[in-house]
Amino acid sequence: MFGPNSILDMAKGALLAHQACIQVTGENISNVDTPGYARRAVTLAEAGVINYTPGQVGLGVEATEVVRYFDKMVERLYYDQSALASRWDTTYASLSSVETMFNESDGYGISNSLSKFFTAWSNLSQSPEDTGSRQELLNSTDTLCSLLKQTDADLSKLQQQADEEIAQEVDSANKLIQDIAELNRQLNLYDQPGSNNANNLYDQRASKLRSLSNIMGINVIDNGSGDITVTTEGGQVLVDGVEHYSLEFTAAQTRTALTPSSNFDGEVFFTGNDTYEYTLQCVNDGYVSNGNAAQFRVSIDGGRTWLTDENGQEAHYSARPEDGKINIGGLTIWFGENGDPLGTPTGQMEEGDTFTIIPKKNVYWVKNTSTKENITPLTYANGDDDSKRITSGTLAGLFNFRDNYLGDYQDKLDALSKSLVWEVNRLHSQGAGLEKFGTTVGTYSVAHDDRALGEDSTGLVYGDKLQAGSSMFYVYNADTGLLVSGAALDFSDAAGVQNFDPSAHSLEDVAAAFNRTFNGAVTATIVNHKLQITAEDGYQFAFGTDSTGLTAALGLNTFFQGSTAQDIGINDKVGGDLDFICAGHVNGAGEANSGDNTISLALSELKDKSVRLSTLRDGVTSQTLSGYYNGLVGDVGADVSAAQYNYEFNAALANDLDSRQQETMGVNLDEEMTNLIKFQHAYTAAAKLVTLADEMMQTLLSLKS
Amino acid sequence: MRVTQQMLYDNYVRNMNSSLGKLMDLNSQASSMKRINKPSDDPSGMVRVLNHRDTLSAINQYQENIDTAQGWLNASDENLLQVSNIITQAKTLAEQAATGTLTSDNREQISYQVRSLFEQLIGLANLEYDGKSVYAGQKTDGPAFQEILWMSTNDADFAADTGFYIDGDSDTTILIQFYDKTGTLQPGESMSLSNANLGLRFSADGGETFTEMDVPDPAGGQVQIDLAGTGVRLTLTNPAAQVKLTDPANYNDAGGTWLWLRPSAQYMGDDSSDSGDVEVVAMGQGTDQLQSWATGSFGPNMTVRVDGYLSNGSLVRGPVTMGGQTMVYSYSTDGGVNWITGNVQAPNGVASNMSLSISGGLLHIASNGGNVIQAGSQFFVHARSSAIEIAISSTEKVRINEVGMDIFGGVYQDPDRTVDANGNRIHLSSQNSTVAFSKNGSSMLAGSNASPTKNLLEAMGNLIGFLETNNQGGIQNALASLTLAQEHVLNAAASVGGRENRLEVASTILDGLEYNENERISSIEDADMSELLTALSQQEIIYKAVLQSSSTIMQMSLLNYV
Repeated sequence: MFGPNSILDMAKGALLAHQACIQVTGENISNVDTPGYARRAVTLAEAGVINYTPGQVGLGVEATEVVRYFDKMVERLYYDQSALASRWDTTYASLSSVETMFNESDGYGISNSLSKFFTAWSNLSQSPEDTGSRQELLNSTDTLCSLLKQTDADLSKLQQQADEEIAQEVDSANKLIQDIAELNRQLNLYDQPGSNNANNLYDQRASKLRSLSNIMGINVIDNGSGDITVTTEGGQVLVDGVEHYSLEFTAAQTRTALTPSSNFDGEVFFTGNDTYEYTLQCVNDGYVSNGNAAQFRVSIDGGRTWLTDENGQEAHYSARPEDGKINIGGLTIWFGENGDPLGTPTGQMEEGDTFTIIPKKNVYWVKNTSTKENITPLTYANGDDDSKRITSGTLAGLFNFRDNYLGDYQDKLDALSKSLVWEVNRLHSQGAGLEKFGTTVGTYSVAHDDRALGEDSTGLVYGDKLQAGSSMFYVYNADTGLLVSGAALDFSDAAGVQNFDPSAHSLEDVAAAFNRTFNGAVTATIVNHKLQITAEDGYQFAFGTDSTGLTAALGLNTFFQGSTAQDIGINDKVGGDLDFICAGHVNGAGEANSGDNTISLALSELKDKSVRLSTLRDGVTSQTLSGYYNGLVGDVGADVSAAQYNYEFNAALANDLDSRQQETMGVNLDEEMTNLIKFQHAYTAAAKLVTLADEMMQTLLSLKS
Repeated sequence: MRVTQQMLYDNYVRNMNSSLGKLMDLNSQASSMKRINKPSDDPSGMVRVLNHRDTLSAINQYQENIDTAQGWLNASDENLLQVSNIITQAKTLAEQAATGTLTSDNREQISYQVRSLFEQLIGLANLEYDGKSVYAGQKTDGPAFQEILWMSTNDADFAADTGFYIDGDSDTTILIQFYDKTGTLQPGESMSLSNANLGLRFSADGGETFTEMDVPDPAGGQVQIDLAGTGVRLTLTNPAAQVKLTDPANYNDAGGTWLWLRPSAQYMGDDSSDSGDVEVVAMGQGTDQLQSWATGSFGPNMTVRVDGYLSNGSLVRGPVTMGGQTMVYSYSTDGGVNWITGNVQAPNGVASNMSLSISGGLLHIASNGGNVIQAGSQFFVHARSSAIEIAISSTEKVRINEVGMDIFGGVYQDPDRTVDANGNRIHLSSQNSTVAFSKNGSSMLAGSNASPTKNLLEAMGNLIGFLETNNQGGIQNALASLTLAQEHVLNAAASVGGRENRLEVASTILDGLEYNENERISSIEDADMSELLTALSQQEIIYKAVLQSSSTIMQMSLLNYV
């Protein structure tokens, strides 16, 4: 029924509704700069009707719910895009700091110092006996070695930093996962769709999901009534309603995956570190032993492609116990009993048994304490990402940076150093300097004195470069300087000179060969697993042509010592006395003359020679040393350039999606101002209605008195 | 489309950053004048720039090398012309002395001048450049030649019969004659050195006064003659050699064996065995049954490896029988780092030797008890080396020094025979030395059968000897030798000159290459000034526009009007 009371009621309803509207508009205006805030609006609806005369009458307005403007579809797309943009942003930023290490645009760097190294040899060939030229050569070499060491150390430092950042990101991710699960729980409690929309909780959850997506890329599945399941892009569940799982960033491990029929009782052990994941798969049944053993092949991309040897055939390695451990890439690998690295497993390894070695810190998805899945990003040889692992987000960017880029650059620097040292030493060790030796010790050691030098398990760094042949050695009278005898090393007591055989002769055999061939003039002994040659009183010695590579591989009369970018340096003997730099050689008359410059000429020509360089990922290439390093600089530049391009491209797409979301959920001050005016007018009008109803009431009451 | 506050401000900030960023890029290009300031600006361009820089630094080094080489060769060139001048002077003097009208006093006067010319020649032959001997092969730390006493004789049979060596030194030529103390035998007849009746007389003043002495008894298989008062001791190694006797009363009897001990020079430097057999060291099982040597001119680390034999066209790694199978072998010029494989040598039907063709010459293998060569045997060609070469381009090397013996002659002790079994140095003697350019290996002018030699220092020494002993025939022979020697020296000078011309050409080419490399580097790396400045001012305008439009929009708001 009509009357002033119902009008008053209606006015009161209008006032309250519009108060709510103004309140919500006020909140929008206050939160115009709050990141992640989705604008709210009040839904007004008629407050019911009454069937009465003269007709149906409304009861006024009612504020039914506060809704939140949010585009779920665009948000889903945005997660994907922003994860990609984060990945490339991290990659680009990290690679930029690597680029400064390889930047030679002002003319100084490794390429320049490699060049100077070779010209120093050419300089030396002009006047081989000149101390000044020799000192200059040593200085140039010093610069080159310290630059290589510095760059390698810087790359390692960056890897450590990446590890620290990853640890932080994993921590953040775990926290976010927990928070999201907690928010889900609260939403379950407080959210009543249609009457009490928990808008704030939705906003919080949306912003946490965005942060999580930036870290690792997520898929969100809406289960209805506010419940969501968050998984990684590879399918591992992170949050399921109020349940959540976690990520773990742990140290190196190995895994074993045996075929059902196998009863192998061992596991794989390793030392060393590398940035690849090694997958070993048995291809020939057998036992673990030092003789005829099981054979396996190795993959560094999870089993898609297998490593090949120098001839392009799939490389097969033998399964050895601890005292026969072999080197593959940057690791030393052997098989031991379960839990006992020194024992030898007795069971037979079956074809198909797979062992995984993860020599670096990795991130795992932890379902429960016994189920962990490795979700570290893995890139196949053709550049594709393994889709069952993390493929985007900051984590992907950091892991990619640490493993693929930095690992690749370090591998190439190591390959360069290894080849540089070998090629220079190979030529240098066949020459003679201004002084003859009284005693010298090799710089490379073996692990087993009695194993053949050409075998992997003997532990000689350049053992695989040894060939069959022999090595010339010359003994001189220390007082007169005249040649006493010069001969090739004889490796057995049989008649005639027996040649060196890398697959049969060990370090002990080499020492015996020296003692046999030059009995009384020199003594060869093994000290600390290195070969030491000492001349007897009154004798001196020099080295000559060597078709085996023995002197270079053992480190006798060499120029460099070490074999990686970390330990490359000048041989201590040469660094201590310039006269031991071999510019010349022992000629046909048995003399090493001071004007002889043949070896220095050959070494300066090394800059134009193509040498073999090999890395695990790229195999064997044949290039000049400078060409290889310059190519590495180009690689770094191309990687940075590609990262920048990807970043800008993906960031632009992400921004675009974000703008579209902002279109829906953002606050426009002009619009809110307009709404404010609208609601204010409505409020004023409703207030007017109150006054009117009050006047009506007054009029009625004044009728009586 | 709705526009919200956050969108607006995000946009402003993004646009300002992006155009400011581009401005900064251009700025850094302008300050370094390079288009490539870091590898990511143009990765492939950066690689090319680095490669070009490497080439450029190599070119600079070659230019330096050419400089050094020019210094050496210029000095050598001038020097050899000087030598030729001296030879001309010597020839003039010799012609004078060869005329019959001169007395022995005249000849003595000329001899002083010639002796002084000889010393000058030795000085020139010991030319040093930059503190190193130019003519000593690779033994640059010592002089190329050393003055010694050597012997000439007019008796070819005596020369063939015995060897000699000389201890001590003398300023004047010593003339030795033999005679019969008892006077029974006639002049011209022969008597053995060990004959107790053999007497000897020598003169150290050109034949004016003679000192007589007995020929000492042989001791230790040699006859050691101490010429008292001269400071010289002559040792003859064959006591059974026959000498012809001179007339005791006639000092000018040319029918007897005369010995002249006169100056000469020993070559102390290095040689290369281009013209002889090169030593080969054989290594491997079964090589003790073979003999091997090489001929040709080889580098320092030449190694040859026998791989096996061909059977039905494919390689079988097994023992090769000489003369019956086609041998397959490889060789390496750098000590085994790189092998050139797949060389074949067909059997030549001879079962006892074969020769393999390798880079630089031939390797000869002969049987020495067996004729089977095992697969895997290696032969190391141990060549002598004397050349100091300098690289003047990536493919060319130029020799900057000489082997003094090949130009000036002299006497050379075989380096294989300088040390005896106990490691002691062996004294220079006619049995362990060769005289340069001579065929029979000994240095004696045998009377009228003497043939002229190109050996300059020997010729000069002989000239001095004959001048000081007033021997006209000898002087004429020496004169003929000097003419030959002068031609030879001028040939050497021409060879030096030829190399100097090569250096000129190489230097010009390198200048051109350097210019080209610099141009290439510049074209890839440098920023185009006009393009850069245009882009810079363009970007400035863009940035200003962004700032202006952003600020205009930012200031507009509904709040201004309500």
